[in-house]
Amino acid sequence: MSGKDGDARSDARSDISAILALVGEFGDKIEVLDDLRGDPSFRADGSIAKDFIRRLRDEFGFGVLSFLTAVDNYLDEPRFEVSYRLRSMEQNLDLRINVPAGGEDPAVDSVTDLFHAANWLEREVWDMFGVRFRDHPNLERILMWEGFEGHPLRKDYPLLGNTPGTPGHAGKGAKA
Amino acid sequence: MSTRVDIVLDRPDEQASEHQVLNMGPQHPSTHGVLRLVLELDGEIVVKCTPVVGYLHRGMEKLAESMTFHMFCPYTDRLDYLAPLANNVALSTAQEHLIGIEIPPRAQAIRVMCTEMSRISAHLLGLGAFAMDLGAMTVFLWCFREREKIYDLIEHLSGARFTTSFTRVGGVANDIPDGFLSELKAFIDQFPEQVASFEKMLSRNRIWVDRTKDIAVITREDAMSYALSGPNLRATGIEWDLRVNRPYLGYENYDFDIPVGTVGDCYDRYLCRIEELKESTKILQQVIQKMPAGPVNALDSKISLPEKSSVLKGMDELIHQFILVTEGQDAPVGESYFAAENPKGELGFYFRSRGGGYPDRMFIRAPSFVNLQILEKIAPGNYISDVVAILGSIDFVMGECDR
Repeated sequence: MSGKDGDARSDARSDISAILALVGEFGDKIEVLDDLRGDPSFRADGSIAKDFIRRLRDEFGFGVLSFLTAVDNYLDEPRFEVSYRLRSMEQNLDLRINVPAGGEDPAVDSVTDLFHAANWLEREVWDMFGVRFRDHPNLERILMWEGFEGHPLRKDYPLLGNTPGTPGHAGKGAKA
Repeated sequence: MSTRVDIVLDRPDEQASEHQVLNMGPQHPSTHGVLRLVLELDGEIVVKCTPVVGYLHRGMEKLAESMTFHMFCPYTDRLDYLAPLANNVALSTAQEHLIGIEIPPRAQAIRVMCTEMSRISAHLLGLGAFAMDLGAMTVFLWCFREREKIYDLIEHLSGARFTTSFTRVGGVANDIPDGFLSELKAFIDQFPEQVASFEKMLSRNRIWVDRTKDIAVITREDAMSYALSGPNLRATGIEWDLRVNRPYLGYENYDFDIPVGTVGDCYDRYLCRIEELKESTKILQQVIQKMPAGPVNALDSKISLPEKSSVLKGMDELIHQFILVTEGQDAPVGESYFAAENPKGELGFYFRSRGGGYPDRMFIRAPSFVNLQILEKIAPGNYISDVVAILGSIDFVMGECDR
């Protein structure tokens, strides 16, 4: 957390200026976020997020999608935020790109054609949050079983209780 | 259950009717847990492999949202249940990264020691199970004999063999017990000899080499696109280890090498794990030599639990203990991500905090979950008996995959 990390950070800053130039091309569609721990972070509009990620991969060497996940900002709109973490191994640099998704049918573009790793991670976000990924080859549930109703990691999904149709529950009464 | 098999059969491929569908798991012993594979076979050759996961899903991320930072620590014992100590360390370090504190040097050294002991024990199981799946029973028994010694050490250190829950935000649960370091030294003094005996049994064993060499080659491009991490990534020749690339817990002060492969086949993955056993031994030796003196918990009473003896006597300590246990550490508002190099790969914790002692969202970036996706890519084209070798070489744990 000290020493070498600090050096990596200062290298990172010079690399970021090139990325910031790219961000400028997208105008007000991308916002640079002030991050708690100094990771370079952006909030990108859903319409251009995939383009942004593609250009980061092809032109800036961010060839690894470390993970993607979602956050539920319940009662706020847009309600969901899909968070991507891209990595460049050569530059030893990670970027976070948050993409808001709101409305009745929250959806963002799938990045499975850019990164194979996105396949299961996007299925997980669909399963847990009900955020759809457009053009995903196989958008099915992954951790919950087929036929399960609801999306458990949504804030309005109860923490305790008996889901109707859940197999193997002792059934001590639902607490919704 | 049958629906997924139907999906495989529904392919618009006219060949599909001649292909046989074989269900492997979730109870198959060589799937190392509850992994299920739907294999589509042309004779003995796999043409399509569909992993089905989720049988061990316990909703850990949901549970974490209603827990203080300390309360979640026991759950991490059940993530990669072959390396509970390393998971504890990764979680606590991630929480400290979010809260923004440094821990004392002695606590850092103890955590490094914990991680490397876990790495040895996890690789021993991975190696032993891999070998047993391919018929080398002796290696399995030898590996388990060594693991037993590690578990004795872990029991002495933390009081539990398996479910250790040893770390705390700001440090560790207790200091190293008397005599522990000399026991650890006795273990690592005899360990290289044992590793040499594993190598003697396998590395140039004709059967072993035939079964693993050039099987399921992973290219560098695939490794990056599938976001592999850990020994599976390094076996493809990419030199990437978070302990070196992004040193945490003072890893920059230890002298060790990152073993990398050349081809990326099952044999390379085996070799990488064998070499990592030796590197971890080297790190442990240095930890014993350098173990700094001092406290094992951060001296910030808003972060780490006070000494139990002083809680019983002092009012301030009692208040701090009460607040920390009931409300938890006050985390700042924002996002943070910290990843540790665990035996299976990059175990990361992504936090979204709205302040207070409970995370608004906690995502566990589980290496096994991400690594397993590559099965769809590498299993087709191999004989069905090689699927067992591939599973053994990927070395995954379903507790972590399904969370």
